[in-house]
Amino acid sequence: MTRKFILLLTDEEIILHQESFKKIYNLEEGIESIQAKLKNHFLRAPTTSFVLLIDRNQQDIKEETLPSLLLWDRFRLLSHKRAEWAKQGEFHGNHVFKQDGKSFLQWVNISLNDPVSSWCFWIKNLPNPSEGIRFVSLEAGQFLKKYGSGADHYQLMIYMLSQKVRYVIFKNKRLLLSRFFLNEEDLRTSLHFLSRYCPDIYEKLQILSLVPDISLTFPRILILPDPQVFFNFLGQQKKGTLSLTTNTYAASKVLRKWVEILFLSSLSGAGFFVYQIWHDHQEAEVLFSKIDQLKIQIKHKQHLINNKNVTRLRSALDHYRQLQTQIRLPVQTLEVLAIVLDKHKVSLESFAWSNEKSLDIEISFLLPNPHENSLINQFKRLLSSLSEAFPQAQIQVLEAPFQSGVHQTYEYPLEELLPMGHIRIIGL
Amino acid sequence: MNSFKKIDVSLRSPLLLSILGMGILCAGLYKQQSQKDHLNSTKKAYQILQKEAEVLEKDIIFLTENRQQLQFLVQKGWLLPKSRLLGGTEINRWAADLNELHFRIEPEIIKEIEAEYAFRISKVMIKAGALLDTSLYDFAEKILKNFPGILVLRKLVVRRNTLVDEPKSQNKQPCFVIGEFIFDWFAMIENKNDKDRDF
Repeated sequence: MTRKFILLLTDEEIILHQESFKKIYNLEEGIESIQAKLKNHFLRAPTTSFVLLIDRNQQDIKEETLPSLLLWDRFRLLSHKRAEWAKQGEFHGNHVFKQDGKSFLQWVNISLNDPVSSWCFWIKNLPNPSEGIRFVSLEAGQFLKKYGSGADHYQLMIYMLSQKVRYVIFKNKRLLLSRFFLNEEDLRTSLHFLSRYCPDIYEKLQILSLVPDISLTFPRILILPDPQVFFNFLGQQKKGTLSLTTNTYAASKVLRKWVEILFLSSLSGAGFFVYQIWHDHQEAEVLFSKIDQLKIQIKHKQHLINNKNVTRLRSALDHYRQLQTQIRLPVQTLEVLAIVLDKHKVSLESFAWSNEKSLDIEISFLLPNPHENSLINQFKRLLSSLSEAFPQAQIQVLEAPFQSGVHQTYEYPLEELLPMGHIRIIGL
Repeated sequence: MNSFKKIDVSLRSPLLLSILGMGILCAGLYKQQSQKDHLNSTKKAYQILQKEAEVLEKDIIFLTENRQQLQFLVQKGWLLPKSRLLGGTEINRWAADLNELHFRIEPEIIKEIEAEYAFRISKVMIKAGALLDTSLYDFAEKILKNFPGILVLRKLVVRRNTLVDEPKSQNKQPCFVIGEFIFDWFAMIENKNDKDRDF
């Protein structure tokens, strides 16, 4: 047994259980008087939780088959139903389950004139944490899942939690019947009634009896020796099949605590933001002072540059440097050439220096000695000296100084005039 | 499950407190966000100014390091549009030692040297006669130094004059040497769009 309070409400009495403690209050005594007494018990252990079990003859659990609807339409149907129940009373609950390819809605609706309603209001104001309101007949279905036989059978359970013996009949999750047990004949009458829309009930019925004193003549009967096992099961259940959970005083307290935590968290969050704002503000202030300094520096630098278009100047310099690579002067070539010509005592008639596609020179010159034999040697020596002076260049003789071309007059001995040669030196 | 139509009285004040707390939190979040935006914009402005200062610093270094060359280019008129009249005056100015002078400046063309560098080029063709070839070389040197803009010598021809006439007047000396000079007169184009601009 758990330490928690278990209140069992029947048609005639309300029984308080806590571990081995058990107290029965007859409802004839008056609800308010009982509630006052019970409250004393609860206040002695305000942190102990409680659960209200309802086990009465009235058919609290209602069931209907839901039409096959789309999800949204089903949601709307259920919301309309809830609104309808809410009009009749504050306490209601429902759940939907599938069985044999159909959807079923099971619900409980406690109307305001129902005596259970006053108990529901009462537990709301209890300081103890509530685990909810559960219905014994429904929870018996859970118990049968654990202790009963196969799921495809009809299951009948006979139990006794108060002074009266009761029984429930399930077909899987569907609760077919819940009522007092009078005798076997009465039970058979009930089965006969059920067999009208469950014709196979006789063949598939399994009976689980928690009351060994009752002897039945049915074929498939399982008797559990410990009658308390069902009550223990109810006490240990953490969540009911269908429970009316109420926002009790204790729950309010918990909620209040959570709200306070939320408020404090909000405050600490706001504090964090205030710190962030302050931090960002400080950082911005530092940046502003840096920006001021930078502005002064920039002004000073702009003054130094004196509105010069530096981009243009850069481009100008780049262009000029590029051009510099193209510039060549004839002075060096002339110096080298002058040395060679001096050496061979050659007199220059014309000099053409060109820096177009390649660096070339073209010279016309007079050789000093007009005699033929020495002229050839002189010319050869000159060519050899030129190729030494300009080793990378190609020397082209445009006109040799012998007057030997087909367009010229060749005579021997040569005239007294000095012979003229014409040479091109390419690629200096 | 079940729902309460009315909020429990004991829960009202904590609920109000939590709403207040959430309000403070939202206000704090909003203020913090706006402060953060403000900080980010300040950071951006600071970065832009930093970049500007860096560019200016680089410009100053450039101007300091290349002061002489830039002064030279400014003096040479590299950055200014070319004036042909001024060029002609300069040629005539330095031709005092020459006995004959004829020159021609051809229409400008645009030439690209490598992909990035485009120039405006005018061909300057000078034909001069002198008593001695040294006068021609002196002339060429002076022109290269003093001409407004940058000149590049492309061709130089010096030849003995075979047809020396008797001087027609006593003041005029004979031209024993004839010189022909071809220069490329360069001007920069800052960018390729400038190609279409006419000075």
